[in-house]
Parts: sequence; C-alpha cells; structure tokens
Amino acid sequence: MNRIKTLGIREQAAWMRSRNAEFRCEIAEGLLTCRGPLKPGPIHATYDVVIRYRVGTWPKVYLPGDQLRPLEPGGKIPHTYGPNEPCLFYPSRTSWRSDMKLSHTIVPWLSLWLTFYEMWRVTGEWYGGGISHGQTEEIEPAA
Amino acid sequence: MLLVEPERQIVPSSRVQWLDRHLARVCLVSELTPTQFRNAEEKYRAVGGWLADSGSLLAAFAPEVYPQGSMLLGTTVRPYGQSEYDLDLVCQLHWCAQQTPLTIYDWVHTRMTAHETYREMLEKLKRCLRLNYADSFHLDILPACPNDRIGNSSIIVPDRKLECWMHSNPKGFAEWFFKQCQIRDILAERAFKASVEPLPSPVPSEYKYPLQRIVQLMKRHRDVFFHGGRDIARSVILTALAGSFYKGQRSLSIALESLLDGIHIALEANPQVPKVLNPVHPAENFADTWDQAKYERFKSYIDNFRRGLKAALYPSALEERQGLEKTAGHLGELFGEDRVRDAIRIEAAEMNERRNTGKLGVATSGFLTGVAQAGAVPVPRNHFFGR
Repeated sequence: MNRIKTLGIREQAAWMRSRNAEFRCEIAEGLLTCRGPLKPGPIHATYDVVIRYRVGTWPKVYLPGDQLRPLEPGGKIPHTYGPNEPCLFYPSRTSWRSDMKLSHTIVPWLSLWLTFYEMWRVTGEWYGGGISHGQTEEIEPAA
Repeated sequence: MLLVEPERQIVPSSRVQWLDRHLARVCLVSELTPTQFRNAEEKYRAVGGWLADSGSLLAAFAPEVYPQGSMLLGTTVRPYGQSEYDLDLVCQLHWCAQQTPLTIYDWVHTRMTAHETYREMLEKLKRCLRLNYADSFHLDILPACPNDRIGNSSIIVPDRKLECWMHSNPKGFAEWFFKQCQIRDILAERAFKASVEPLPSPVPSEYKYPLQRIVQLMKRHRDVFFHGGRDIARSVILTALAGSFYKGQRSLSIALESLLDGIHIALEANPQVPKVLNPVHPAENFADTWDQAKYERFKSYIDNFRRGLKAALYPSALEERQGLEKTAGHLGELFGEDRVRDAIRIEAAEMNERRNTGKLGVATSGFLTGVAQAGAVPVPRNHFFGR
C-alpha cells in the first residue's frame, strides 16, 4: 500500500486561512477548530459553519444553532448525523485521507451540501446523491 | 435528456446571472414538449398538403399555407391546467379579394369536408375552421386573401358573423417581432437563427432570443395570474408590448425589469382605456375588447409581475439570509411552484453533471464556481453519507 503524507494540523490550519480568509482557526491540544461564514452561491444564504479536525480522526462539520431546518417540526434533514451535522463523505479511506486538505475537500463539499440542502428546502427532493447508512452500493448523483 | 443552455458551462456568480439561468429554465419547462411540437408539425403538413393539393378546388387560387402566432414566433407555452394545445395556420388564397368573405370561407370549408377524416373532426368557428383531434390537439385554419390595397403580406380574413373582412398581417407581425428581437448587437455574440420559417424547429430553445423568452415568461405569468383566462391579456397584446418596450438587453431579468417598468409608466400615463396598436397595421387595435374593468385588471397583472420580479432581483437583507427558498417563493408566485421546482431539478442535474465530470470548482470563500475561474480549485468527488 502506498504511504500517504499526512498533513500536520498546522498545515491544515494554514491552508484553511489562505483559502477562507474570513474563517477563524484555532488549534488547542491538537484539535483544529475553524469557524466562519460560508455562502455557497449567489442567491444562497450565508451560514455560520464550524469545522473540527484532529489528525487521525475524521473531520467533523456542524452548523451551530438552528440554521438547518427540517421541512416539518421533528422531521429529518437528508444526509445529516444530528440535526445540525451534515455528512459530507462516506467514512472510508477512499473517501477522505489525512493527506487531503480540509480547505480543498471539506469546505467545497459543505458548499455543495448546502446548495443541495437549499434545493431540498424548496422541492422536498435531495438531488445530491449519496450513500445511506447500512448501504454499500453507491448512489450516483443523477445527471 | 438534459435540457441545456449554451451558457451552461458558466456557473452563475451573481444574482442576476442566477435569475437569468433560472428564468430560461422556466421557459424550457413551460414550452410545448418536442413530441407535442412534432405532432403539431405533422398535422400541419398533412392539412397543408390537402389544402394545396393539385386536385383541390382551391388549387386555382394557389393556396399558401403557413402558421401564425406563437408557433411562428417561437413563443409557445403549454396551456395552463390542461393538456389541450393548438396551432393556428393561415390558408391564404390569391386573386380572391373580389369574392365575398363567406364565399372564401365556404371554399375552404368545402375542400376540408371533401376529406373523409377531416369532415368528422371539423367545426365552424367565427373566423376559422377548427379540426379537433382526439389527442388534445386542435388546428385552426384561417381562410385568407391578400390585401392588395395595403400589400406587404397584409391579408383579409372572413368574419362569418359580421359577414365582413377583417384585417390581419401575421407574416408582417412576425417580421416586426424578429426585428425587435435583434435590437442591438446580439448577433455579434452568437449566430442566432433569425429567419421566419414555417414552424421553426422545437429543439433550438438554446437559440432563442431573449425577447422570445420574455414573451414566454409573460404568457406563463399571465396564465398563472388569470388562472388560465386569456381574454384580458391576449398573447398578441403581450407580444406587441414586449416587442415595443424591449431595449435589447441580453440579460433576461434586466430586460424584463426594464420592459415592465416601461409598460408600467405608459399605463400610468393612460388612466382611460388605451389602444394597443398592431405595429404593422396601426388601424388594428389589439385591445379593442378592453373596457375600464378589464384594463384595470391588465394593469394589476403588469404591476404584479413587476413587483414579483423586483422582489427576486432586490431582496432585503432579511430575505437574502433566507437564501434560495425566499427567491424561489417569489418566482413560484409568478410562474407557478411546479415550474420553479422543475427548473431547480434541471439546475441540480447540471450541477451534478459538472460535479461528475470534474468541471465544478470552488473559489476562495467556498463559493461554488467553474473550475476555470481564477483562484478556483476543483471540487473532488464525494458521496454524501447518511439517511
């Protein structure tokens, strides 16, 4: 198996700062926390997003408060872990590896997710494709 | 099949660009389907062939058969809340203006009843002969003679009720419309197809002029606003006003806004019922059935469109925070929620196509954009997880 060059936590923070100038990034005991505004497109809302990452774990993303809203009270938002945590990738080595930059993967995937989330808010349909829990087959996004 | 616009490689980077793309998609999902269009074309050709056939009693008058109205102008929209659609065609004879209107009408009627199938489907209307097909389609045949006094493709059309000739000029109107479509340097940017042909092909939606799209949007909004009732805002009135007030902008939303402003100001200056003149035959008033009440409803229709469009173009800070949902709400009120949903479905499909082919990029700040954009990096493949 090819060895991959794991990016250090400071490198990840530096990439985040260079690509997303409005994000505030802090490292505390090896845990990187970046928080800032994300507007995925010209007519889309601006979201307050938090990205957390520690080398050796999967990156985590959440949107504080009730920025994400189900279609009806108590309803489920597609492709989320909790009420405010989008699932951006299938947790496997082929999806995300520690040599990948958060700024080049997690951030654009979050923008994509938010774009599909806003479409879902209007039509009630999820167009972003994905994989359900307990499902091994990949579902291609429909084109 | 993915319906696409030529500009599809551009990921919209401003509200106006997004609105332009969305409005074009609303047009695409509001048009007659290619199947409907082909169906209309086949039937039009068959009827045209029957009328012009050498065995026809009309043959001596060299009948010329051509479509008029939205099929000719490329501004069709699917009828509101029903599947019935139609095609108007002119059956123009020659050397016949000395005959009485009823004679001309009867000649065409006689020829149609000579056909076993057509005979059963035929219905006599005030100014046309209607063929009612079984598959939610009808074809209106307008008998006509050239108007030799005016010339220039002017025709006279029999009115059975009044037993008189009515003036019309569908070819002249189409020429005027396509001239308006080409105001300013649009041709410099892309080689649009500008000819007036019998039944322009249904496919090149992508070759439509902004003005054609604008007329489609006005008609669709008219259908929503009047719940399918068309008498107050006839298509020809919308087409004439749109063509007269269009200033040649390329952007659909900007052109539409400026044109609605122009119409609004003109209507405000006319508290009394005005005339809407046929640009190629000023003796004809398209709005001759308007009374004060109908005129007021027409004004409120224009006002509703103008306000809705401005709401989508210029959101308040609060609305801006509500994102697509708010804007889609305004557009849904104008064009119907189903059409906006369909347009968003196409947008999603285009985005996924870009995503699957590595053409989607992300700018610094997380804004999704084209991969060729300065400063953009490609969005890698991913699969959203979870239910």
